[in-house]
Amino acid sequence: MKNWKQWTVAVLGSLALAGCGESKPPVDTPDTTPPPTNGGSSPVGDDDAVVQLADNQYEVRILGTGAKKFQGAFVNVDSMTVTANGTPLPVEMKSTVMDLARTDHAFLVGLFTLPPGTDSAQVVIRLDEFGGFDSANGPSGVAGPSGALDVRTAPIRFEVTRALLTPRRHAVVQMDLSRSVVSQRAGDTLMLPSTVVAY
Amino acid sequence: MQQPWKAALTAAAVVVGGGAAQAHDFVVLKLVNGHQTIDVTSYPTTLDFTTVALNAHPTLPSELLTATDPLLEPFGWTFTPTLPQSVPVGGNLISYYKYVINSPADCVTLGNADDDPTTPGSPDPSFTNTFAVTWDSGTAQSSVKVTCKASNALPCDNTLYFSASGLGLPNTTLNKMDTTTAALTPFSTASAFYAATAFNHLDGYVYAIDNTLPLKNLIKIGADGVATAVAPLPELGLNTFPAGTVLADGTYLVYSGPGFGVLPEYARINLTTNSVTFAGPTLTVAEVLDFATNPTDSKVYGYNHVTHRLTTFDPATGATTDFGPVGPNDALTGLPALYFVAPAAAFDSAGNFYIYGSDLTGLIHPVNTLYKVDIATGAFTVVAVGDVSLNGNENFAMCAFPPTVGGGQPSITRNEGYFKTHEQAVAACLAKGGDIDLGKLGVIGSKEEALGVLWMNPATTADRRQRSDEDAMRVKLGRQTLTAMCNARLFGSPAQQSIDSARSAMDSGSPSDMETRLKELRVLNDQGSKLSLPAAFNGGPAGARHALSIASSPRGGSR
Repeated sequence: MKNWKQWTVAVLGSLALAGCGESKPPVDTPDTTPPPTNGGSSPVGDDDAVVQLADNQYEVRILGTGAKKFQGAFVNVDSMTVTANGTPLPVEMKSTVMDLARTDHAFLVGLFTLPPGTDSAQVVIRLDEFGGFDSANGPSGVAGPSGALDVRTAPIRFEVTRALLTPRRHAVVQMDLSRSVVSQRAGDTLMLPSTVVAY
Repeated sequence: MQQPWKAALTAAAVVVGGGAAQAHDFVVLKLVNGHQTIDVTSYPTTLDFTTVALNAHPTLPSELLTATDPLLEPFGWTFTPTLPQSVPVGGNLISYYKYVINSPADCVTLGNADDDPTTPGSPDPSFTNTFAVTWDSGTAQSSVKVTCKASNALPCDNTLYFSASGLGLPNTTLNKMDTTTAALTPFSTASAFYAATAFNHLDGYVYAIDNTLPLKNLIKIGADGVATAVAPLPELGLNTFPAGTVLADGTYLVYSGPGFGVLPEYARINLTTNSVTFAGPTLTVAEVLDFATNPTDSKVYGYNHVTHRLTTFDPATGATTDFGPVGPNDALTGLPALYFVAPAAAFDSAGNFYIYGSDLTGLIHPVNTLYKVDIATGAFTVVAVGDVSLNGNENFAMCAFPPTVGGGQPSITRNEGYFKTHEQAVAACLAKGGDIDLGKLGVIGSKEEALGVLWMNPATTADRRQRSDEDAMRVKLGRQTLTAMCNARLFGSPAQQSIDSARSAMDSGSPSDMETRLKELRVLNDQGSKLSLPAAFNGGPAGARHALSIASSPRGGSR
């Protein structure tokens, strides 16, 4: 079956449930996104739920923060590159559509490998051109505006070091929606990434 | 002095720090002229960049190690003080930098130099600029975007501008009114109580008369939303002028009927010289609160509150000629609604006449309804119910005279983001031209399948398998092709040749060919994306979550 519908509904449903009962901070929440219902072509068990990291391999995740004005803020990842001294390092993309209005879950972008002898690298994440958002209900219960998110702006760029990555084996980009989502006088709402990277 | 950005950053720090405060110690903010995004509309313009790094740790000082701004460093940007630097709890480090933009070409240069692949872009060049800091256990970044516009003129499109003054204070706001729902989007707020608002199609500015004080002023509003008093108009005397329109030749006609002065007066104003060419009394006693110029016959039409009939106003003599029936009729009694008030009137370029007026239903009749009026029959048709007029000082302004063909006005378009979040527009696109064959991406036969393509992730498949570079490019090109086809079907945007080339590139799989076509289609899909939609088109409400939830894979396609 090639239908996304059940899959996307499952994703959206699970997003509301994931993290319930979790006592750990959001950056540690596993992605409980179920496998897509695509006729069994996906691996058994979702690669995001149980990511088996190889030696020297690390995760990169994105977590939305400052999102109380949003019911949903959906973006895709276009690409992630990791380089050390200008040389590309191995990257395995794992992203699917992310809802950054969910502040209880850090979405998996992908994995990268820091080879032995390389102790730092430059990570660049480019978000996909357009996403979409739904505002939270106002005080009167009336839904706020929805619309496109123009993400054709600056990439997320940061330096990682083995020392910082080692304890938890991931870097988590915290995207503060309260300062990243900017409305304009004319044209779409912009997403200008305002981020902090934690490990 | 408490600075606004500081309060914002402190609040942000609390949010960001929630649950993981120990994991990071700084939040940063970059602003240009006090904003995160600005449009430059005059040249030269000095940009004032502000960069702030705030210690977000709740109890400890933090040490800032590095601060970078790769785009502006070659032009002399430095962060002061010299780093590393310890910052106390609640403390911050601020740096300022000035850069002069001499022309839109500077935005092109900076757009090519930044690390954003989508800039400088089109139709207006822009650049993004990122400030980043590091400390021992983390990094943070903040960006701004600057767009260079050729001028401050507003486009001549189907935007219906609605000026309103709320409770009557000198803070008139110019809004954009949706011509299908009457919903308002604020555009500009002035420190003035103005009226007679009108769109000058010859220069692309909205003009109005500032009625705040006895001495009138001419107000001018451009794309930046700034309302500027450009000239005093002593010839207008002590009257208050509620009605205004720009004639076909660019003359600004204003009228002050009974009750707005000792005698009814009208005036003609030259908007090239910002001077009054005629001002004087008129013998008419028609009470007209707004009027508008019909592009099909160049006559000025309004609603006469004395006779409760439509009327035409002669700009040369100031005489009015009523026509058509008395009305409109009250919905309950079926009799002419002699309470009817019409403070705002406008024509669009197709000759549709809009009036904002009293509610004809029920027992009370607030001015809250957008009507389309047939000037041949005098029939009023309700379009939508909107905000209630609080003091009657409302006006419409609309561009009724678009440039002739070849005058540089691009076709109306919408970008990929619009179709991603407007199911009804996608459905209309498919209903108008049938299935869309995107080759290896599949055949789109329903709005669900169209949304499936539009929301397709270029990096991975739906089951999180990494796409090849060729597949990723095909996804992006497929989305832009679908967008271009919908623009062609819905708005007549001429793109068939580019669509054919894109489809052929998607089949061939040549990455360089696909990239060329992708850039071409992005330009086409962006060119008219800020123009108002045609009045006859209703793309429905925007929504992201629902659109995503119904997305499905197209027939025969990979995901």
